[in-house]
Amino acid sequence: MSKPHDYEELTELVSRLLDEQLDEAERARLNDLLLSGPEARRVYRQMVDQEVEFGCRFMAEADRELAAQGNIVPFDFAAERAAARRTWILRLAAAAAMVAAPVLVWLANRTPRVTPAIVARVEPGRGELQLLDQQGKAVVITTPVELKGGAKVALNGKDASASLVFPDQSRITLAGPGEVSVQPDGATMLQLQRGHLSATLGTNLARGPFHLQTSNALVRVEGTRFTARETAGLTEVSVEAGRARLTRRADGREVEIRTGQFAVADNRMGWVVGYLPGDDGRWSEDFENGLPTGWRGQLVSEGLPPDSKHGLKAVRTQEPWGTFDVVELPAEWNHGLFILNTNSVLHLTYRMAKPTWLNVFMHTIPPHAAPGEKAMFVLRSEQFPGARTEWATVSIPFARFVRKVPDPVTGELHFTGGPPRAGERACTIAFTAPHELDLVFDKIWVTPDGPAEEKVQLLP
Amino acid sequence: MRDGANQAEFAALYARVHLDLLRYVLTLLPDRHQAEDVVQDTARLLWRKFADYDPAQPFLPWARKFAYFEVLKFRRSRALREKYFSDELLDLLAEEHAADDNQLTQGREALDGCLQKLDEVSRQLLKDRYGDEIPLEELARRQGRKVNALYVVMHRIRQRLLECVNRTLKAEGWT
Repeated sequence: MSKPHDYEELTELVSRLLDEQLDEAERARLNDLLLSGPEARRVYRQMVDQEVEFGCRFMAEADRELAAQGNIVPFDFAAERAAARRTWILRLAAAAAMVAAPVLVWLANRTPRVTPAIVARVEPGRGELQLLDQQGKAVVITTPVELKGGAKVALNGKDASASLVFPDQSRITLAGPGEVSVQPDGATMLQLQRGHLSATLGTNLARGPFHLQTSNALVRVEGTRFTARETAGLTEVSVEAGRARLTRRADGREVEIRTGQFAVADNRMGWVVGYLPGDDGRWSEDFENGLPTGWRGQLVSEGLPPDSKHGLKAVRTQEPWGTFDVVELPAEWNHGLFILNTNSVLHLTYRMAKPTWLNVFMHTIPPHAAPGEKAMFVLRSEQFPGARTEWATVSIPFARFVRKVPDPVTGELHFTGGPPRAGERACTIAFTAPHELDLVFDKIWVTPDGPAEEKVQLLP
Repeated sequence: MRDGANQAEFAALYARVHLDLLRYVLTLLPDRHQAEDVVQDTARLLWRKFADYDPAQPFLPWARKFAYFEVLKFRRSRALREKYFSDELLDLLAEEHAADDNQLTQGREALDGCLQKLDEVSRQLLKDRYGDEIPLEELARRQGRKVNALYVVMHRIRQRLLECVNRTLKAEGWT
């Protein structure tokens, strides 16, 4: 492991590179040094690798310390304040240790004298919301109240919900049992025991990282929109805008997820990272690799268009409310299968040996939906299924779907609402009829744009 | 093909190599933010190409190929002045990266011991800089020091740790 020629200069230039301090001349010189031999490049790779390790290790350490301190969450310039406070405490402790141990003990044990200030408003929703004082005395809240520093609120009941609104209009919505504390200095401590939390952070909270504690994870979020769900020891975090670093308590394993991703972990498995429905609004299935998980339908391999190996045929399904022929997409109730915009188009390559009518239902998660909230639509199509027996591709704007809404007078639900809104996430689509459907799909796909009107193309 | 089983399999594989990809991309594109963007683009590309992945082969080398092309794409999209290294150097770095894998992995383990030997002031600086992500300019302001002095301190810490790691590796028989 020999040192390369010009080792000192090399390491200094790499260090300046890592600190983003290199000027043009130095960059050219570093390029030359790295071209000079494999030893120089090895040193460079080591230093870059070391830099990534610093980030991983010290970020994990910072999160663990915050957790040990009671997971104090920065709020409104608190990132800077918290860091300064920790440094100050270390220095003070070192000085005190040198002077007198009893003084250190007193410093460590004394309670800071803080005048509580109003830091947020809590708005009850469903279920029971309790305000707990510092002695643990609980008062049930039924109307919005202002929270002072040091307050803690507890949400009880499976279907309970409440919102915390901060002065910068940051809003944290809780669903299911959970506890939120506001520290005496205005910082927030958020613990999610069970249930669902969604946060839209305003300017102040978004300025510093936001920390959340669940049964098996510590979450540090930098960003403006995220959700977290805790069910039976399973933690799931999704980031709609920003980034989050998640640390598993059991072993300190970390992952970082960014806009459009989610991560799931429990006490047994490591982090599993996935993508939220494509933010490009695309989705497709052609059945070429067999029957995909979660679909309802029968895989067929005969009578298909040229070059196609498989298709999906409607199957007879017994439901409590009747018997139906159906083809159904795999349901994804948490994140949806794909995201819709006002120009999204559904494309179907299909054939119906016996032309007849059928229903096309779609379930969605509306934008900014409350936990569990879904919307239902039916397709009003002029072209699908159509009276044709040959293979064709029909392109149908999603604007052709109509929403099921309550009648303003009777309250009964009818498909008389508008089309899906931009940002709505489709959870599943079902093609169904109470009679026999000799319907086969060769391909189903979604694009974020396409023809504004329905269009049919016969396959050659 | 985006069925749930594939997604879970991909997620598990990707979670395992995410940091390795970041290390690799950062070597070729030494700007943390740009590197993270490229890794994200790579992840999307990997997911789109996942049907082509042969599970009999290791995932990381397969993923690195796509990361390399994403780096090239990124460089093409930027003005020449923003390219950190020449094309010749980029190719060398990409080629040689895999050869150092084992040694870099051992180096990460050795780093644990070396960090423990670090003095408290240096450790605190790393913690502030990387744990709390405080810019060196801000740290210099808080400590009443010149920022250039902190850059020098950071360089010395990196160099000390690098040499400590290499001494450890040498003692373990790495050449």
